[in-house]
Amino acid sequence: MIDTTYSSSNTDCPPNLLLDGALGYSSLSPKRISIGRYSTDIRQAPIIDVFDTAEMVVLPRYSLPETIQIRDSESIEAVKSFRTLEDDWNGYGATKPSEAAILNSIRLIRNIENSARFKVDICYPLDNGGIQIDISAPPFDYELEVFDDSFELLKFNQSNSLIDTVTLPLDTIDYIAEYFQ
Amino acid sequence: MTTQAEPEIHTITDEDTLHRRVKRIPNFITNGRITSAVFKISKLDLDNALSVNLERLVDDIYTTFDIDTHALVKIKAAVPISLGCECKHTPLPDNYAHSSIYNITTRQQARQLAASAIAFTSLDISGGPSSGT
Repeated sequence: MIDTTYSSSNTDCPPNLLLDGALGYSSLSPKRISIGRYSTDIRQAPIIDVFDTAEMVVLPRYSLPETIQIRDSESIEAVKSFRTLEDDWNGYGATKPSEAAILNSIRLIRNIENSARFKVDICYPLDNGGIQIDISAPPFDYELEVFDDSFELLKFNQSNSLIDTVTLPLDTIDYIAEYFQ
Repeated sequence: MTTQAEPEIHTITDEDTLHRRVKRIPNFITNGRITSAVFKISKLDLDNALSVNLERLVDDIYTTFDIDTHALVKIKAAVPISLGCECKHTPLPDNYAHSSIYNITTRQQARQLAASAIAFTSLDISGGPSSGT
């Protein structure tokens, strides 16, 4: 069904007319082109019925919606960077961080950061293949020592005195933020 | 047959300052605070102790570490001594200033050592805490 007629002077010309006709993206200099009627019946293939001529209008290229990128926090990026360390990374004979400790640490940090109440200060590899995560949760500071199959939580007061030590199984990682509350 | 003379061994006192080399990467400082992981020694250094250098015996600081890749962590010997650690001058053939801190066995010791230490990452390593990061 042919139901509409447009010309280049028609500012209401829907962009899909030119897009469907592939007329708006020529790299050639402006030239005379034909614009005619098209079908709005989606059951039919586009139909160009030439009846007039007009100057080509170069339209802005149709752009896709912006991609949303979810970036990891600096702490997680730091832990990921530990994968590049080799044995003796500290010059004193340290073992490189294990992949399991890295993955466990990332999971822990995500859970801690999702709580939004606590801040991961710094992550640093231990010399035995584990990873330490330092956390501020005033009035206390915490150190999490993360290993392949468990992690240990150390609680310090502001005088740096150790006031509690808890060894936790891996299945408590997802609930770690609750410990600080 | 001649024997090589034993090097003179110095006594480390509370007034002495000790140096520890720490690689700049991974980063070990946040908001001027050194992570205690730097002092957690499970795989003990030479002679089952934390390797350091005795500052007053260091002739040329730049021969003991590479400022481009390492930071220098300074700590007063009084700190480990007060925590029950033993500090000994343990010279090596290629490093007369080499010393050792023995008996770092607890996490609290490591944390308090870190809290008292100052890290220097610039060439001005003779200054005070303001030179640290």
